[in-house]
Amino acid sequence: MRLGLLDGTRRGTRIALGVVLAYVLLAAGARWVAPQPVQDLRTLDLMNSSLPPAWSPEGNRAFPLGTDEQGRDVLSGALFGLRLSMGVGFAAVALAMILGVSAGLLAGYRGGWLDAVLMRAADAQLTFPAILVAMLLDGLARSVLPRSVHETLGVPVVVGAIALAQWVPFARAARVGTLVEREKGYVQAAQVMARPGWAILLGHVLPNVLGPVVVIATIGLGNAILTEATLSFLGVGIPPTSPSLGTLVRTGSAYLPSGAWWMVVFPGLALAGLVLAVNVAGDGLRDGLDPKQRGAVS
Amino acid sequence: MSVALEGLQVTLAAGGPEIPLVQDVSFHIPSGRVLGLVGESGAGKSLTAAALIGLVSPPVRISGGTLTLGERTVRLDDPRAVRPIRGSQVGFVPQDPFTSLDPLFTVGDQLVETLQAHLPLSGAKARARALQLLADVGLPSPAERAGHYPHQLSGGMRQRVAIALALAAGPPLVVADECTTALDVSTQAQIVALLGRLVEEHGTSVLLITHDLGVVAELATEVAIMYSGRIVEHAPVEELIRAPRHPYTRALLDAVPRPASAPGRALPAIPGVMPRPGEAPAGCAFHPRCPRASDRCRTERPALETVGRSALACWHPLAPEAGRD
Amino acid sequence: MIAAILTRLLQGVGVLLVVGLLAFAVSTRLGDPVNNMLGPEATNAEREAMREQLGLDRPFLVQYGRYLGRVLHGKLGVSYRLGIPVGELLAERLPASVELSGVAMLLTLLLGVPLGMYAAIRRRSWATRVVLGASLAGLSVPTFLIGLLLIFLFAVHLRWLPSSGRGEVVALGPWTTGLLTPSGLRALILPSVTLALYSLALMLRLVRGELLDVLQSEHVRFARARGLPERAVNFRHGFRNALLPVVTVAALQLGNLLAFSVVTETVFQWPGMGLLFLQAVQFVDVPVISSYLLLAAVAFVLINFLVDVSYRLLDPRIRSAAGGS
Repeated sequence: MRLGLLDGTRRGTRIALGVVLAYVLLAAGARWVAPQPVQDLRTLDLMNSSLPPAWSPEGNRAFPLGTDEQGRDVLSGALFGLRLSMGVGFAAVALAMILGVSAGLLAGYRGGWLDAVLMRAADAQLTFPAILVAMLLDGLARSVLPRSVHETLGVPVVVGAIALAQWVPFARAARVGTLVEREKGYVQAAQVMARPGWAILLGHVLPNVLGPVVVIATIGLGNAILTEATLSFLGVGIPPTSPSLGTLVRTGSAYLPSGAWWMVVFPGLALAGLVLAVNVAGDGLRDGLDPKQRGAVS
Repeated sequence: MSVALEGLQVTLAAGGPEIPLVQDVSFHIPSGRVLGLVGESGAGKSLTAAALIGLVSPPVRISGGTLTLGERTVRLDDPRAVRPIRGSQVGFVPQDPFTSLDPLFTVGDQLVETLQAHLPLSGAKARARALQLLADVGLPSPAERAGHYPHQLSGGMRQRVAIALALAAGPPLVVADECTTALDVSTQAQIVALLGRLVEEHGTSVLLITHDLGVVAELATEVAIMYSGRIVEHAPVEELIRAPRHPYTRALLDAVPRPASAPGRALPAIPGVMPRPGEAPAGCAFHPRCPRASDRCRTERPALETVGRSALACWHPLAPEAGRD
Repeated sequence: MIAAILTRLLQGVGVLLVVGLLAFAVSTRLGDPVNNMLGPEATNAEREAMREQLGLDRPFLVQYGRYLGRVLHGKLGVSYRLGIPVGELLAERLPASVELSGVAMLLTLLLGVPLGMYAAIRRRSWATRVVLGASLAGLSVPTFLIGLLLIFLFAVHLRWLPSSGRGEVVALGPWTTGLLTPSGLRALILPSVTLALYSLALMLRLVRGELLDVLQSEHVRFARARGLPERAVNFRHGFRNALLPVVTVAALQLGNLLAFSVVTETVFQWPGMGLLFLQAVQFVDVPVISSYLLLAAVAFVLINFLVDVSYRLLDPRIRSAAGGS
């Protein structure tokens, strides 16, 4: 199935997928790739603070992309931040996919009031933008939970908030796919043979909705990463003890007026590059699935 | 005025060598006559129709052919020459009027815009002419209907509107692409009758594309059979139906279910499938499915030979009057 | 049609009541207003008195009813953080946000729609490729980063434009506008461009997608076949049909602009409602949070309602389904 998905794709799409893969590898191997283990406060030396990138006159080769105001290497910080940004993004999309597809399958299969309720919820959800929902949930969590609990739970809360904002397209796709498959003969035959519903759903419906779901997931991943970065930038995302790329931009932005551009630009570019690659890949996958791209008799 | 198509070639150019889709199609339609163009799906009938109005887009392109309308000759491989004749010299009746009519505009509006695109008419005159056209095609209460949207009309009425649109500028040639296929049988009969009447009244030449031999028998004066991008037989309609000469035509006629055929007997279908473009076998394209195929058929493609008002491309045609072998 | 509109209106009110209930529930459950107002040193007697005064001893629905009454009179509580009535706060900040979002929406429509149309009509030109690539970048670069980079370039480096604030504003009755002063206009440029970029890219791609779809449709093909001039085909029959989904998304975009204004207002320290909401969330200033939610809900319901009405006006098929033909 995966190969079938890639068959119709253009070269640009495959390059983009390769870039995403490279990002994943970099992030996973941050601990080994990063020049400085920035979480270990003992390695920080204030003498190294606010150094520009290595190619400028005041730069230092040990810190290729410069350092921040506490002497932390920007490159290392970005790598670890990347790990967090990607982790949250993937987790949120995975969660949204599981929740959304399950809900959609159920609604499509059972129909009736379950379907109606789901569709109303989905409609209502769509009117509220992801950022507001996520901000609100985070604010709620922040106020309801005591400080220490909030810090440990910080990441799951953000993941949950983003997932909550993203489940609808998955549910819709799964529901439509289920409705289509439900009418087909083999489903009715299976029902006559009293095969359990979930077996039918898993065995037959799921493979058929997989294609659109993968496309939605890819596009959703880009949005999830952006949302997490935005939340962190606003200060309502994950707790600042382990900074994501958004947090890095936030702290770095204070030093922008003084001309220390590297603290903002490099984490920002890493973020933008990742999301761009994900979006290009998602776009390409969607075009690959859509046969309308060719023209014959006009 | 009479209409003649000469040497139409349509090819597919999608990387690699060009694949021929329609090859060397020619015919002549006198004024007020209907030529039926018959064939299986994929034979190239719709492409021929599209080529006549220049609605062919990459990777498919028209590589050759000329269309003569009365005194005027147009090169079909030149898009700029073809644009001006669309609608004004060649009208088009589509297969499905429901999707072909714009759902956001009234029927009257669409008629008026077509009229004003081709004829120097003021708004009021165009409106009047539109109403007249609607009456001509037998639409009941035309003044009221003109203000209706396509979704408010029945299938038969929409098809009448489509015919009115095709005739709006008074073109000498009208191409009807499977225009009865989407209709139920009784509506089909009405539309066929309407077309017959209009052809007589306006003296238009009609290229009637269909796979339905029944419609052809009723409406056409001559019939051309297409197979795998080429014309394989062309004859006056009674002659073709009574005594077809090409084995493919014979098989097509045999495959039409008749009320008289004994129940319980299998419908004679033609074994095999028509070759896809670019996959035509050597020699005669039909030979793998032909009961009369010989070695010559397998190696040498028969050329289309014209005899009087008929044409035939076969090495072993059926005898002229017998009709059966 | 009137009946349908009224139904939608009632539905909208229903949704508002539900959201209001949620907002109210949130505001009562989150934190303890008595504690917040009196501080931890207050005696029990004082707490009881305050509880009675605030009506917190009454049943939930009664409290909700009183809350609704207050809301309709514009009394939305007092901010925990600033001690100012929320209604006043919102009124003070509203003009800033509205002007920012308004200009951003204008940019989105004035640039996004034409560019999207161009990209659909001229599918293969290099300019289209550039535009599409730029739009993809616009969707991928986070809004806050764009804002920061623009500030760095235009405010810090080139010093052409201010990096924060609204500039000089003029009071017109209850409204304050930055549109009438040069510094106000200059202050609007960077924030509105930043805010507009994402939705512009989205609108562009959407218009292109829809128009591409429509241009492939049967009725566009038929419009061409009738010989209508290209402009009429593209605009009258092409774009007009693509308009409906575009209108819906444009309306939804307003919602997005509202949300993203939080980010832009933060980056540029723009004194609007988005910044207010962010500060409220950080401080857990419950009255502000719930009032903002209510306001947002009103805005969304209103937008949805207007979209619905415009749909009816634009699409005759929906019109007659409701009102009969």
